This record gives sequence, C-alpha cells and structure tokens, in this order.
Amino acid sequence: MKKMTFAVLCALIVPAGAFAQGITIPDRIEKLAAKARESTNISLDGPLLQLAGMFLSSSDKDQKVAKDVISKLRGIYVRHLEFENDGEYSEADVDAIRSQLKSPPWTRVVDSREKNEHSQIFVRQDKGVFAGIVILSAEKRELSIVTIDGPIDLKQLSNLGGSFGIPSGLPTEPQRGGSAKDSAE
Amino acid sequence: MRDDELQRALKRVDPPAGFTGRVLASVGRQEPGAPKLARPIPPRAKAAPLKWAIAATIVLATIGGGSVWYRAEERRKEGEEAKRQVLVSLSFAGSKLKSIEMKVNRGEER
Repeated sequence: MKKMTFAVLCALIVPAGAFAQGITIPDRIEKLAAKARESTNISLDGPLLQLAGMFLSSSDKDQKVAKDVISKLRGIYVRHLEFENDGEYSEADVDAIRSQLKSPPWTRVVDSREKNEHSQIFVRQDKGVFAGIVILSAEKRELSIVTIDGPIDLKQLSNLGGSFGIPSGLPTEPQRGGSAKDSAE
Repeated sequence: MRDDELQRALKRVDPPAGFTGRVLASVGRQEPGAPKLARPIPPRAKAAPLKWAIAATIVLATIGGGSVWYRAEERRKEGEEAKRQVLVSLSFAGSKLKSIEMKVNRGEER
C-alpha cells in the first residue's frame, strides 16, 4: 500500500499551487545546530530561486530539469545536522516540527521506521492541488528537514538525487564528500 | 608760420638707427609703476577648461563604469551561489526521497 501511495505520488505532475505556507523551524532545532558536528542550512526563497534560474544552463540536461523544477517553486529550505554521538537530539525536537504538520492541509504520505531511523514525507494540498512537501529524516546521528514550497513532481525530484556531480545520498550516506555543507553554523 | 617752414617741419624723416630694436626691447620690459600691458591669452590656457572637462568626464565614466561592473559582478556571484545551493538542495532532497523510497520498498518486500 505504501509502495502504491509512493508510486502515485511520484506520478503526479502538478500545476502551480495557490498558496505559500511553509513550516517554521523551531528555535530548539536552531539551537541544536550549535552542538552539531556539521550543520547545513540552505534557505532559498522566491527571488533567490529566480536568480538561480537565470544561471542554470538550458543546454545541460540536469540543470534544465532543475531550472524547470524551481520555476514553479516559492522556496526550498534545507536543514541538515550531523552529530558526533548518538542521542544528541531528542524526539521532542523533531516533534516540534511534526506538530506543525499534523493538521490540514498537510498530509503524511510516508512514515518509515527502520531501527533507529524514522523517515516521513508530508505533502500539502490546496484545493486539490499538490502545493508543497516536507521530508523529515531522523537518524541516530543525523537530522534532516527539507521543505519545498510549491508544486513539485516527486519523480522528477527523486531523479535529481545524486545529479550535478554531487554524490548520491550526500550528505546522508557514510561515504559523503562534504560538498553540500554550505553554511556551517 | 610760412608754408615752406611748415613743409620742412612735417618732412618725412627716417628713424635713427636702432630705433626699432629699442622699441621692441621696451615692450618686453615693464617699467616700475607703468600700466601693465594686456597680453594675449596663450593657446594652452584657452584649452585648459576643455582638458579639465574631458578629464572629469573620463574619471566619472570610469567610476560609473566600475560601479556598474562591480554591481554586475556581485549579482553574478550571488547568482552562481544561488545556483550552487539550488543544485545541492535538489540533489539532497532527491537523494533523501530515493533513500526513503528504498526503505519503503524494502519494508514492502519483507
């Protein structure tokens, strides 16, 4: 059933959404960055996405896809924290985000638990239109929050994983290279 | 005065030798207290304001051009950085999505 839901979601090609309503990163998460071994914080709002779009090449296949994807978006926000030891963040820290995603228009479409990993995908719909996604990934020593505000084709997004010469899974896989660590805080 | 006396008085007389030289020498020499002779403005002095205007225009154009270039360069750097962040973000989000998809599929297979 989960597989089917995922497949259906990935098949969605959705028109531009009607509203922008992202989640707020709680202070307690921001504070976690101080004790994280590595911290990535990327905030790209509308004007920055537009600017980036001007610099993405239309002749490069992957960049063309990225250009197409961001042309419909209102924002991309990534918080990624890596800790030295286990248990440096608590479930309550993650709950501070989950609590914002409990009520409509947010819907949890994937909830995967595996050993010490808990991954969730929430989507937002507005008037039947798919208008945003939040990916929450909580591992023993890593916490990732990705918020994409605006309509996005999940299949297209999934295909972009590991593109642009950036190793697949970075920076969540053990063999990470570190190029995604943009703004260590 | 009689006519012949008048004619003698007004008779054309050549200047004494060295007269021309003495006059020219006195023109170049300023007698103390004598009124200053009006001198013609040298051509270089006439061209000075024009040169300053040209220099000022060049300086302003350089500053203006430099400013425009600097802003364009800043904009380019911002754009390149935004592009890099977009690519990293999308790659990371895509990887996360793939990873979750694999976990879900693994769970289904069990």
